Amino acid sequence: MNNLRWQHSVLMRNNEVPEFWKQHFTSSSKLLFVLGKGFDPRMTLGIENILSEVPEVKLECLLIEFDEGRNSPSTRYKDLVTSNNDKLTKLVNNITHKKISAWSKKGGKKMRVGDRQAAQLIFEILPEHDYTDIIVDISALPRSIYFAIIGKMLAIIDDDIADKKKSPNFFVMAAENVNIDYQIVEEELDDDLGYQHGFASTLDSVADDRPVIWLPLLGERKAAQLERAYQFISPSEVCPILPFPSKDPRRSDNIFIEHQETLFDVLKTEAQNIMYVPEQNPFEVYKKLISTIDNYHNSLSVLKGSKAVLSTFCSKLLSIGALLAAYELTYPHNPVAVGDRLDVGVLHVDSQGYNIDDPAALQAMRDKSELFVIWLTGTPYDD
Amino acid sequence: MRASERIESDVSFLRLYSHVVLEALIDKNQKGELWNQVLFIRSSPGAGKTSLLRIFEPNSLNTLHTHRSSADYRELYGALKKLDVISEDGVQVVGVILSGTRNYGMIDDLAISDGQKRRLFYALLNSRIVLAFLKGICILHKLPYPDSLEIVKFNFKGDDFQSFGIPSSCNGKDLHSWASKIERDVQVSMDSFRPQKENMVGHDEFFVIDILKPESFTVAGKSSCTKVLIMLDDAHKFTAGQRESLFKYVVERRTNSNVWISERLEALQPEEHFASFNKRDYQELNLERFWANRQGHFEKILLAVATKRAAMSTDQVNSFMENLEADLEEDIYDVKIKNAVENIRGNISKIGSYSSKFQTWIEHAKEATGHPLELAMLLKQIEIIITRNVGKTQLAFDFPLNVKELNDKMDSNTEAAALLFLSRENKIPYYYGFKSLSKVSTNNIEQFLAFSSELFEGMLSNGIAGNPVMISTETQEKILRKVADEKWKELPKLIPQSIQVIKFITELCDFSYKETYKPNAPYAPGISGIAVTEDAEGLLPEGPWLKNPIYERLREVLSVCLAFNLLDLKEVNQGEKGKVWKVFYLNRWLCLKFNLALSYGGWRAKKPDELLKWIPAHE
Repeated sequence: MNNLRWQHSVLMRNNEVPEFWKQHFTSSSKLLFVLGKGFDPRMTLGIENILSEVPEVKLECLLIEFDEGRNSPSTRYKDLVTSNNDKLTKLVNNITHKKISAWSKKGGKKMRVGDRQAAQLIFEILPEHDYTDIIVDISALPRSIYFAIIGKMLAIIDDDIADKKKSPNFFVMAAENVNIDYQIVEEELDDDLGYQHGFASTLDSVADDRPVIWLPLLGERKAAQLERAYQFISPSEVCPILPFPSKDPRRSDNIFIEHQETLFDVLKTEAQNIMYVPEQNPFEVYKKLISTIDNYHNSLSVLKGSKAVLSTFCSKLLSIGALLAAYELTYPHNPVAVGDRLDVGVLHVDSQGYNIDDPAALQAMRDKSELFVIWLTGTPYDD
Repeated sequence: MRASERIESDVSFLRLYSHVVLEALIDKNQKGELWNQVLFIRSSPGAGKTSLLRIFEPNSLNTLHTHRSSADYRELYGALKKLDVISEDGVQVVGVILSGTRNYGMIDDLAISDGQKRRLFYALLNSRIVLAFLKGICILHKLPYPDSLEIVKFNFKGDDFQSFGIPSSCNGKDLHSWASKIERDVQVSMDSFRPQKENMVGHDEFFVIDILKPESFTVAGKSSCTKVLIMLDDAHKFTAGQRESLFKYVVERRTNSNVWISERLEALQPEEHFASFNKRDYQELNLERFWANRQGHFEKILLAVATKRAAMSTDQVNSFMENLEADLEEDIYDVKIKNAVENIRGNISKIGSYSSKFQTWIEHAKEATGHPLELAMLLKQIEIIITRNVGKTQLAFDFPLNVKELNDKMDSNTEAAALLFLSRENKIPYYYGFKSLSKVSTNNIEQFLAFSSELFEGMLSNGIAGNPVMISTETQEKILRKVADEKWKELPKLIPQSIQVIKFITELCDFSYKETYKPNAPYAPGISGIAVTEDAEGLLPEGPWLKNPIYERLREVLSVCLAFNLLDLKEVNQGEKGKVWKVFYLNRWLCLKFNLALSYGGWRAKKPDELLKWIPAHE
């Protein structure tokens, strides 16, 4: 499978980022900066970085508040949220607040709707815009929300491109810090799982009973999520993916050791199915996932191919690779490149909220975060 | 030891399936209430709805028919024969299960009109049921699916549904293509990031129930089956609007199709929960209520399930009930029991000293002999009866009461109360043995499995450690309490309005505890339920509590409790002739958690305004 949309891509990290902002933004730039309101100390790192380099940039800030419900364990960290919000309001005047709910409650039934609400929010604000640049900072956004936001934005931008309209530069930004990720533990996992909005594909189809290949990207402390997702998907084959090369060379081994019982006793993983992807390059993850899914599909052609499910129990940076792979296969930019339609779904195991092992330590770790900018549409990709 | 939903192979499933479960349906069939109509199968989670339906799937029925002479399956085969599902000639029914878990709820969240939402919902149901039916018919006839669909012929005589584009005469492959396209189109319009258009694919009616008829299908020129059974499982997953629309459609259509709809009680609206059991205009099978009236049978099912599952164990534990100590190990508790005897004797002397009328009873207590436990039980009963009599208004002279009068006042209830008090006061195990386990399960198989799997683990651990496999009464009680504690901790995650519901249940249990452990055991063996009284003199007397908006909070909480199997509604005849009380009994695992008796019986009437005080105004 050649000629992928992001076969050639632009990824910037750390010191490259401030330099890039200085060169990129001009007086005619109009930037929409989307970020989540949360307790994660990395929430304002991205916007601080931009404003310190190009304080004069014309910027609108969309702050998405995510309501997990009154009983969510995350409500314990209101002080951290307030502190992050104070930092932001000192930096930016022009902030549009939007609130989305994790749940809808109709007829006494609770249903996860956060991803759909997030997509609807983007649908309402993005068309007819005149932004030259859009940045989504995922550092303090829950996974199912940023998957929906980024997916919806890409779909709208792709429609603009198809209509020969001017399309913006679209960036995803993430402050990567494995140690902070480790400190934040999901609490009270959902019992009722469902595929991510936009990437449910035909996984639930009665007509299509091709074998399902599951590719979970692993991080620390995810055994419960793995088991729950496995029960829901009931895959024919499991291909766990570990981060390697990684900053800590032993990290993949540690994750493997931590999850070995789940991987082999519960998920019945075959050892040769374990794969590795570089910890800090989402585009490599994207390519590897697409080629694996494609290979399985071709190898199982006698069974009319296969379907795939991606689950991201890993860092946000790696999860972007999974998002791009799912997006490309579901909404092909170049249908010829992906050949047969490959059905891919994304399954997250959401939780009612989060618990932080040591909130004070979290703040101290903030400055050791690394900033990544993933450039998805715009100048480098224009023909 | 877990539920059959997770048992993958048909052979394993059938081997573990207890034919007794089918009695609920056999009963309906004998009354002519099973076929050619709509049947609602309801229960709280884990009562066995999915297992009940799964047996009617073609794979299960084929496997059963193939092995019909085997001793493992003979009884099950016989039960299904009684249901006219299977015969010596083969399987007669094509059973199609469609689960409501497949994201139907998301349709209601789309930014399209309500009418279009309903059209998408019906289109998805119609297409998926057709697809599942085509697969089912291939499995039943042992044909490869979907490659052999060309020999399946569809010929629908009516022309009512032509507008939906369904071909009236075609082969199975064409029908498959028609349904696959609809399913895919609906899925894409439901999920895509791309904008959705109104007037997209959609159906105005749930018409598959009318077109999927045995006479409409042939396989290689022969009749395909004698019955088509459409089973909608987990219908509680549909949104309230979808459920209402679908149910109205199937009930009002008065179809002679076989449509079974299984759902959790949580789907019911409060007024549906409290409505009289006999006033429904459709057939209903409430599994827990069915078993509540057949306790002996339910115990048989549990025993069969436990025995069959234990027999499949590859470890050294191949039986279950035999490894649960059924009687108290009196030698272990000898000291405690003897101390109890002394204490009760002291209590009797003390209480009896208030009146000379108990003199003979006190003497009788002093002279009583027997095994320590037997003696302790007798004395405790005497203590309870004396306490009751001390409290009574003095109407007669203090002539000593004789032993016959004492014996007349002792019955199985005082005995049960004595055992409960004795156990509680002296820290002696009370919740043990298969009978207790069965009671704690409260007519729910999943609940039984939750407790029994932990006990089974205990047996395995004993075996691995080289100890006797048998689990002592003390360990049984410890394990049961641990599971009950875990269930209690899980509640906030599982139920809506959890703060209000948990507070209400806690208040109810505290109330029951206080009433149960009164020294005179007034409602022996104890209280574990309440009935709501209409009382014009209450603080909030305006009108019946079931309709008065003041009591909405109470109705909602009770409804959640019923839906999530925390309370169990029973109709009880008591008081004036013909007076029927609706008693809300605690699920028995809550009795275990709050140290109450496991037997049903004792309940108190409470005014609605008293109950309202148990519920915080806000979540």
